[in-house]
Amino acid sequence: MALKFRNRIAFKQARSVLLISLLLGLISTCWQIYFDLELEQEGLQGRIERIIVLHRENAIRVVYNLDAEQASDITKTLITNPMIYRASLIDDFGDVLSEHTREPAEQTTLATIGSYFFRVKTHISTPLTVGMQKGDPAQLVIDLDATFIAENFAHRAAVSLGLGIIHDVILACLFLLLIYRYLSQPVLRIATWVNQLRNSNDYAGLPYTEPDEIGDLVSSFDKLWQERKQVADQLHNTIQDLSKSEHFSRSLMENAGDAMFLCLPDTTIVQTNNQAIETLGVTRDILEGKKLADFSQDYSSSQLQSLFDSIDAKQARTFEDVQVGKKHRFPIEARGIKLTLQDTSYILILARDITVRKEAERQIYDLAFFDTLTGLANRRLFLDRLTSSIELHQANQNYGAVLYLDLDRFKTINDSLGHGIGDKLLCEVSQRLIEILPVESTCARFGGDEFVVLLPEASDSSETCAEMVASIALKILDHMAIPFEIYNHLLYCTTSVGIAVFPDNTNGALDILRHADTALYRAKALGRNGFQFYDPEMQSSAQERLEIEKGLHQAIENNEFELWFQPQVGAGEQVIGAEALLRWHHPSKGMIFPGDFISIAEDSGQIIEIGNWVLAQGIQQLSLWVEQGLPESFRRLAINISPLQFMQVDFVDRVFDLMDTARLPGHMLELEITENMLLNNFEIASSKMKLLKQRGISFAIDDFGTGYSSLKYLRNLPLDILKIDRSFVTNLRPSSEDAAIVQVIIATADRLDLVVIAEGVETYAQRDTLLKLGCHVFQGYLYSKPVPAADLYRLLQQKIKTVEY
Amino acid sequence: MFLLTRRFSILTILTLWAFPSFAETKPVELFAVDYPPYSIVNEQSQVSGIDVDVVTAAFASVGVEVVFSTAPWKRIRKNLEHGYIAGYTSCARRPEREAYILFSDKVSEANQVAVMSVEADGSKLFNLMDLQHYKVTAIDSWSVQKELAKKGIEHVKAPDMDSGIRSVVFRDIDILYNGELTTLYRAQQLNLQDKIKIKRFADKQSSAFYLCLSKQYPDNAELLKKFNTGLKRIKASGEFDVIYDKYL
Repeated sequence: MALKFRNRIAFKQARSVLLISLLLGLISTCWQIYFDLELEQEGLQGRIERIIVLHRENAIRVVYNLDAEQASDITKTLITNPMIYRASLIDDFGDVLSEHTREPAEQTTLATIGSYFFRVKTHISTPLTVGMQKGDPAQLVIDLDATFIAENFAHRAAVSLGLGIIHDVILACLFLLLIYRYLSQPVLRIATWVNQLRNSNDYAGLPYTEPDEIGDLVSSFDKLWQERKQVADQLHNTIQDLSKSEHFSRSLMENAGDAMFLCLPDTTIVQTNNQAIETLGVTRDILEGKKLADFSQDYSSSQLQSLFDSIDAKQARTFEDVQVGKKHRFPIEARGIKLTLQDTSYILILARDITVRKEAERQIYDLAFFDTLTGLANRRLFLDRLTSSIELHQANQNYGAVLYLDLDRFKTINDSLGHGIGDKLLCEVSQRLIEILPVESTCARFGGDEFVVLLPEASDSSETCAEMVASIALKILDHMAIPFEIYNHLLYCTTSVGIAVFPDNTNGALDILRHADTALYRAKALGRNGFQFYDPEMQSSAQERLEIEKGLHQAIENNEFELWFQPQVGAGEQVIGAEALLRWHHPSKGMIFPGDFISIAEDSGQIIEIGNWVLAQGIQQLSLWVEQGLPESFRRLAINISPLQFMQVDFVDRVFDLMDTARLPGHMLELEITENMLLNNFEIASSKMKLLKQRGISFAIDDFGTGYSSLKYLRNLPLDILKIDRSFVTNLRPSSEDAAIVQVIIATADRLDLVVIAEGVETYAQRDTLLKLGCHVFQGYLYSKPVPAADLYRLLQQKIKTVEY
Repeated sequence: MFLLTRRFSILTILTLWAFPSFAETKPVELFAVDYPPYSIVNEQSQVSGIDVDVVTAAFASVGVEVVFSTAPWKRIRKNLEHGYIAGYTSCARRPEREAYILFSDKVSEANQVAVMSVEADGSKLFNLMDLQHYKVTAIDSWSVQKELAKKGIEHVKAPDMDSGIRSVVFRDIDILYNGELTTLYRAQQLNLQDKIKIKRFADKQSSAFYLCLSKQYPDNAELLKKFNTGLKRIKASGEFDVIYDKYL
């Protein structure tokens, strides 16, 4: 702490001392000068008298003798005194016996001032009585040098005054030093110390320890300070603890993820946290002071008041509400706790925005009970409702029905146009179903293109119920027959419907569902685009399908599969190749054709295993034939590859391994793939095909014309053979629509340098037409049915005979 | 002693003045200074001497009683000038004194002479300027010394008459230039009267001395007449010569 010098005690004291001492000094000096003046005047008189006395007798004698010479000596002597500038001796006759004068001292300012105060009789005449005196007495006259005397006096007074001032100044300086050293400096140190005590936590030692009044003061202050500091520290710590606690609480409250409302028991909000302000979107000023019910959707003020009344201090109360914010409303889960702070009761409400949770719950509910694609009920919800409905119907004897729907040829659409269009088609189908079904019905999607409809309480009799359901089924079929326009595709999608009326004897929901499913298969089996009521007999065909699925598992193990081969004949009636075809010798059902189990194997995924077996078996057979010797015309063996099989990661390696094992050149193997396989996995299929092509393996597109028939594939993929589907060949006649299509296909193949093979050639007319159209390779019963390997080999040894069916 | 004398004189004067009934008998106070042998003032301020006795006798012859007091010459002169005292004896007649002094008939005379040792040769000494050839002394500040100085005659200053006399008797000083009677009177007192001789100068006139009365003092003209009368009487009676014999 820097004090200005003039503010310091030492300076003030010294200034006072200086002023006082100057004043006193001035007074005392004046007094002294006054007395000095008096004394000087008296002294001067005395000195003059002494001088006169000294010269008196002599002067008397001189005057008596009228001795001018001695008189001159006397007056000359007299003026040697600096006080006397003129002396004369006048005899008793009035004559000047002797007179001496010298120049008086020069008038100075000091002398002028001095003469103002020093008033002295300068002309002194002393009578001298001499003998024989006849007239006036003789006179010794002296004139004093007033200037000299006054200057002398003034000089002395000035010196006295000057010395007095110097004395006072020195005294003041000494006093300043002493006070500064012994009072101001210690006080300053003490002040610094006190400031340090106030500003710093470090306790400095006592600034002054002398055993005097200041030391006593410092010691007393220090003792007092320590006591106070101890108390203050305790208080500070307490306050800090409280502050920390309060801050902690406040921080907890402010940073809490939950909105917090500290309310009075009458639901008035007295304090809130940031989260509350943020979620409600109002300012704190507006929020605090309002009733909590003002922001509640579900609770009125009185209801909330009742709720508050029911909250006690022992247990928190949880409730849900929807809070109404400034911009939006949102669901909350609130916990109310009763608090007592400073004798006042409060209800602390912790409200958590559970929008996300609610949404999640809704999503979970939707996921659990609804189909995500169409928004229809899923299997679980459907079964739940069906079960409920069955229970209800058993009680009130009403009848309901379950309709199992399947879109005809949906798989083809899905595979050829892609899942995007397939999914969109499913949504459109579901939308149409909802539009035409009664309100009380439940429509569900079980996955894929399977839709299930529950018609509860259709009627109180099974017949009426069947009629009503049949009409609904017809309505469905009609609506589904209307083409769907999806992404510029006009899709025709008929529907097959299986119907089960309940309750029946089984009474179980799953049973009823299975009945409907069975009826559906029946409907599909009967030509699709129709509906079938469940008949207990239907159960057997469903059972049969199940048995096939089971039997496939064992078919490979039990060596029940067999490869048959159908030759492919060139223009010169020479067998140029063969297509391997699978046959299943079922132990109980006899020979089963691929049309009866391949779709089931594809659905179950068994097709991979079966396909691999076919591939291995075919290559092995070819290898055997090569060893046995093949005609020159025989170029390759065609093996069908399912899409699922082809997309297996190890497919290429597997083929190469098999070929390596069989030591067959690649050009002897032809893989037949379908268009649909390429649709969704073009890049992968393309790369795999190119790898295989490098080994000389050729590729044939099977069933060309029935699918997407994209020229893109024909141009960009390493294809070699294009197989015209049998459906174009069956009704092939010159100038027919099919002939035009076939002609286009052949022309396209020629342009792309592809070999065209026509399937299903059964008549000469078909063959001739094909020949005219430019197709020179044929496969069909006209030449040979599929035959076992040994039969084919034999066939290869002899000239083929065409047989027209 | 001086004070006592003065006081006594003053007392006397006052007493005389304070009692007019005795005026007729009041003696006339006259003043004199020590100028032996003309006027001699002893230590008791008693005044005697040739001129004093002459004046006293002269006045006595005309029935006037006189008393003599002494005072410094300058004081006496100024008192005469102012008319404070009646008279003084004896003084030389000088023009400046005419204004305030009434001179009586000659009371005595004085000659300035060369005083020599009896053994000295004064044969070549005729005029005053002949002193230039001698070792001369004169009493300091006396008129004789001033005269020598004025005339440019080299001389030695003697502090007093005794020294002057002894210097010619015992020292190598040839001549003391001084008053004849004064010197003789003093030599007598020093018992050296036989050791000295006197030689007058041819060109040197004698100086006359008179009773000097103040012009301003009352009745002094009458008094002067009386004195002159009395002086003539004593000269005529021989008393005058008796007095001279008494001192020389």
